[in-house]
Amino acid sequence: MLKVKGISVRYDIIPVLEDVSFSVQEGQFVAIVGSNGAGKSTILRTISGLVHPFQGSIDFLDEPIQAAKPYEIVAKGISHVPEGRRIFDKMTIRENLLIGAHTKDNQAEVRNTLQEMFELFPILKERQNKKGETLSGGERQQLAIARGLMAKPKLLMLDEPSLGLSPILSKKVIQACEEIRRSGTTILMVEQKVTEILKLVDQGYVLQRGKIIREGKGSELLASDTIRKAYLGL
Amino acid sequence: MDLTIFLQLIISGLLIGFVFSLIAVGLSLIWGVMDILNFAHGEFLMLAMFTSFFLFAQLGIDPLYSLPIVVIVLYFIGAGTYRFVIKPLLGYTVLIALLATFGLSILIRNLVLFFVGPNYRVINESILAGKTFSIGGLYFSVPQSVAALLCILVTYGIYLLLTKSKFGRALRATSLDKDTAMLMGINTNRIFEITFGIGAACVGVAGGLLVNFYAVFPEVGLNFTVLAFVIVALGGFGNNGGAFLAGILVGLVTTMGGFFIGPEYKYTLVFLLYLVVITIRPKGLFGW
Ligand SMILES: Nc1ncnc2c1ncn2[C@@H]1O[C@H](COP(=O)(O)OP(=O)(O)O)[C@@H](O)[C@H]1O
Ligand SMILES: [Mg+2]
Repeated sequence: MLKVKGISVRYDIIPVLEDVSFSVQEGQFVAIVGSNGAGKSTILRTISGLVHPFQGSIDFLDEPIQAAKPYEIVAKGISHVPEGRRIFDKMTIRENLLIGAHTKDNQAEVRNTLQEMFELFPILKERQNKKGETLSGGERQQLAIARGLMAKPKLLMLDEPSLGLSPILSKKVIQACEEIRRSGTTILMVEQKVTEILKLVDQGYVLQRGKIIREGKGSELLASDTIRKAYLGL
Repeated sequence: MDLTIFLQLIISGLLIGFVFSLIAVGLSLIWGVMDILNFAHGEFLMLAMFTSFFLFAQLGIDPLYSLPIVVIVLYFIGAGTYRFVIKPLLGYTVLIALLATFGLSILIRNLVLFFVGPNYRVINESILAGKTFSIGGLYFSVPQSVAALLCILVTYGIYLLLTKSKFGRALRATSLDKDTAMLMGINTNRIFEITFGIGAACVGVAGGLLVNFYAVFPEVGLNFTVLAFVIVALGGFGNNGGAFLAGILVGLVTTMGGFFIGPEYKYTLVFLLYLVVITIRPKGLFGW
């Protein structure tokens, strides 16, 4: 579904990603793990078209997207839930959700999706007319994910969704992700919290200083001694 | 003092105030979305007035009828300014784009000066010009009343557009967080271009109406640019509702001050008000 082939990205002249390749198959839950500053967010921002690689290519559903505009990429079916939630604080929760469906023109369908989101995250229904700024951290993350789903994406990309959440809340967020995957949405998540996430995913990649240094099934990666010691610090 | 004169002053102040409001809302709209102060705003107003004037003088189209044409022309001037002047500079600091609008204002002013000369031009006879009506002993200038009414309507229309439409929602999202708006599938470039167009179309409405009671000359925009800046600052930068209210306030101050203290001081008073407010409330009267 998504094929990232040898992309290299620089901010000005500073290399951030070097020759990064990975792929996501339809229906999979894939994670890229790495410590702070490894380049995880940059990978997602590059797929979304906010940043363009100077080398390499990105194919989504067999079409090249590395030069596409962010709004074209959303329309093709990729939603990106950014690091730090980035809720529109001054807008209501309902408006936040509707903005997630900006690329959708069929209003009946948008209303249906909205109801689905309210079922998935009942707190959002309750608070729908409150401003985004009134939500707590966990609720903001739920809103950010729901907003991403409003576009009915084929691929949902999540940037450290559990960052700053209590263990109980991050567990909830991860559970929501599993539910979303079960309902047929492919998921690509980048995370620092390695153990929790590698247990769940079909395929994992380990990113270190802009390079993919290991890949494999999540459970295999967790079991591998080199990873556990040298990288995951377990 | 005579109550009639006082009420008369209030009426004049309000009527011109609504026009100021719309001009300022146009400026505020662009600022709110892009953080760019359009220094050519007054020159856009001047272009609107000249467009209206020449459609009247050359083709005999009454300013009231040519208003839609003027608004459309101004929309494209605004959108074109974004596309060809602002957008190419967006990779640099905002200051560069801001200076570019300053350069553009000088360019427009001097081109107009070159082509039509410095003379004042006035429309004395149009459907609206020079007419008055009275209610209960108070006189209302017809062109000013119509201008005020239409400016209120357009401002309200913009309010509805911003708060009730899908476009308005996308515009607000873009102004709150551009990167995230892009991730939502919003074509922010298009939002910027349309916003610039609408901002300019606002002065299109104002200019096309002002021409019925205000002289047209190449430097007419200067005053309005400064006034619009002051109004936007008084209202609290990026606060369109604040700009609307501050516009009315400035209308009242110029009219009252002009009468009680002297016409030559009417703008001095506005700037004094601005200095006082900005010192006490840096975020403006209506900014929080
Ligand atoms: N806009 C930017 N300009 C310059 N450098 C950046 C920018 N964004 C991120 N970086 C740098 O790129 C590297 C990778 O950042 P990021 O992708 O955010 O990593 P992660 O998400 O894994 O923490 C870091 O060294 C960071 O300092
Ligand atoms: Mg990150």
